Amino acid sequence: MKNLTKTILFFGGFFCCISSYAQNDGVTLFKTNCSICHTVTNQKLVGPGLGNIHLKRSEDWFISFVKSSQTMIKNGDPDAVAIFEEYNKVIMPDQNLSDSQLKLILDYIIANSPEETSEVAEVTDTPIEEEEELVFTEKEVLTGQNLFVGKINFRNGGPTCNSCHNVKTDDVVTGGALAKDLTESYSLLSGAGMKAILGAPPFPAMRQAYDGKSLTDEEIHSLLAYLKTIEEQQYDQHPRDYGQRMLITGLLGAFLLMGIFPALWYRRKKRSVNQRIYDRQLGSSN
Amino acid sequence: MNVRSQVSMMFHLDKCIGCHTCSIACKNIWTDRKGAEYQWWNNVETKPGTGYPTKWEDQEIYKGGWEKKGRRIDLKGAGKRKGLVNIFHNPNLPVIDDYYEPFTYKYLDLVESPARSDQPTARPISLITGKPIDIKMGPNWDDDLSGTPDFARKDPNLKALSPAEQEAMFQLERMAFFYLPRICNHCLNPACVASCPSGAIYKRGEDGVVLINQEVCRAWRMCVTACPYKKSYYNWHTGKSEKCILCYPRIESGMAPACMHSCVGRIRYLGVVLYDADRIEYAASVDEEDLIQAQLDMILDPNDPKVIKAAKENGIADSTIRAAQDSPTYKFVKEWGLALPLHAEFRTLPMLFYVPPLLPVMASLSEKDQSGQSEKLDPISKFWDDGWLYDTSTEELWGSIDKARFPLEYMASMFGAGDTEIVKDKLKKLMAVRIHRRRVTVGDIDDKKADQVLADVGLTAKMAEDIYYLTSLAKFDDRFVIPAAHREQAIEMLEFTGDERGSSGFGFKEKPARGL
Repeated sequence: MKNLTKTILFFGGFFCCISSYAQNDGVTLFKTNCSICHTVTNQKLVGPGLGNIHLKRSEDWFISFVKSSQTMIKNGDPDAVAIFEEYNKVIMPDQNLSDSQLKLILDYIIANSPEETSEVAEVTDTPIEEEEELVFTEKEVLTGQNLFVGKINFRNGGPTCNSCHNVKTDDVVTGGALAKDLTESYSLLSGAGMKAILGAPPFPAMRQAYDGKSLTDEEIHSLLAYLKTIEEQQYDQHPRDYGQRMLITGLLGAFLLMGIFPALWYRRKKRSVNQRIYDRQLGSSN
Repeated sequence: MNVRSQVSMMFHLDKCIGCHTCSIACKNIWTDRKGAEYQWWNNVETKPGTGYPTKWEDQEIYKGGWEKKGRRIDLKGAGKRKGLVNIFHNPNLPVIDDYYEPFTYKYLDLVESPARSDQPTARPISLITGKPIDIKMGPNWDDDLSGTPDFARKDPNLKALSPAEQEAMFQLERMAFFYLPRICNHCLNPACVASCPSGAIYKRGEDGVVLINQEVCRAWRMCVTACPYKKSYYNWHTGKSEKCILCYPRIESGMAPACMHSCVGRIRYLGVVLYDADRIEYAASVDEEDLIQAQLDMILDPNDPKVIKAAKENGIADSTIRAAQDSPTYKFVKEWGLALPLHAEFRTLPMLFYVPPLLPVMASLSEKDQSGQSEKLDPISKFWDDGWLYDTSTEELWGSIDKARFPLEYMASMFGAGDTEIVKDKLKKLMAVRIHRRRVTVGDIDDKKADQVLADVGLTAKMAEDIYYLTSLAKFDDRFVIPAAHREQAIEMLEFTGDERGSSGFGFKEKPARGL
């Protein structure tokens, strides 16, 4: 019986691997890894449109930027720095993809890029439509807050936002410091970008956390409402800063306990009943 | 009536020679392990003395046992509320210095030391740290009254005596001592069981042996505090507490416990007694002067048909009932009324009974002008300077007990919960048996007087002979009446034995005439 289970597990694992390799075509790779922030046309999403990228950047540049954009920026690559500045210093997460996979993606982009106009160098970043200003009701904002701090659970069981993220507000407890502070995220990433990110997180840690526990559209809508309000109200907020007081209170408490316990346990049997005999005895070193 | 059986012990202190063979037998079998070196599940103490651990009898120091509060009893140093408050520091715990730091000697140095101008020595090594130590104390440092000012003089039982009586005890000419071998009492109202926060200690239903489940013990050490006899020890290596197990693997296979089996003086007796479990609470919480009587009243007559019926209803095996009828413990404790529990005032209802030592009370010591003796001797070479009369006559029968070298108050503090009369009664009985035997063997006491002596203490010549037999001549099977453990029934509770039954053995070469 045990052997049978083992066999099933072994071959099951084998077939799983095969099926995952089978998805290694450009379309799927682009859709799962890139399409949240990028299009294959010239339209901007969170990041720039990638249409005809091959005409602007070399293949090597493309590959190393996708693998680690921050390394390139730190190394002072002028094109990389320019893009970073242009897009509000939003960090593009490093993609854990192989060179061959990236080539597949690039091939896909090339194949699907729009026909080049005569002015090759002049690429205009024209969004699909003028982003309309989203309007939220107060109720949606409140729902968003409750979702953010975990008073309401996400329907599919995703983790609460503030276990990793913080926002500057007086109303809720301080969030985690594991991921970015989201106070100004709305203007940084725009409503559509946030929506895309929340729908299918591109960041590796976040993708892992919400794998199979994706947020529903209503939840995303409420969160957007909340984050927008947070950003608008951030200058009225005065979160308390405990600073040194935290440490001092802790130390005082420790000293207090050190006093209380000996007082409570004053009647403890402190010495051996034989102590007087031992005190009289001479050791071999005397 | 809720009849249960208990394997109960009886130690005859008049016969103990203080050889510590029992302690060594126990140590070799059970406690010769790391962390258990200082544990003496069986130890022998010299009395007067402070015992092991030092002054264990003084519950003002160790807070063991129960104390009466109003109509009920509470644990003195542990229990639910006190235990919870003190669970992390356990204030009255004995420390290793109250026992002693166990040691061995570096014997290999004697063999492996290189040639030098001096002889090699074996240095003492601590069994806890593994480093050389100065030995400060041992488990029987007060053996045979050694270090009297430190030990014998500080015996907690001396509190019952006036300063003048104490001084009299330690006059060189009058000094006496006896030995007190101690193991776990396997009490009926065990303080260790009551104190355990983990519920690791339990009293076995079939024979009343108190055991610590090593898998449940969580090292709170409340039992060490709670046991007034300090017979629960903490193993610092395994992080569990351990205690005497009454050699239950030996008992289950019909053998006497190691300490009893090896006893040179044959002072130890083991037998089943039946008792009424409904009366435990009452017997443990009566006034101090009634404690011993209440405990003895709990022990039921195994020949009483009503008791036998109730015992059978409670699932006690016939073999156990039969063992109870032959039990030497029952005879000494109930039938003849010779044995008493040790420190009944701790209210744990100990099931180890002691026949108190008669000691040198066969003779009375009185001052007498012996100058006439000197005149008979050659004045130059010898002279008679002894002014005492060692009177072995039986003229003044019971007076010698009152004037015993060990004041009755001292004995009563140990065996009588402070009541001198109950101890005196036992000593008189012991003496009556001796007078009876002196009539039989020496013949210098007339029948009338001997019978009068026996009648005074409520014995007959037949009973005196039985006591004499079980005290002095008893064979192994008389001293240890161990009931069958009925392990076959225990096995049947756990597994089905029908599969093996009838299928073992070599089978039949020919079909038996009466059929298969």
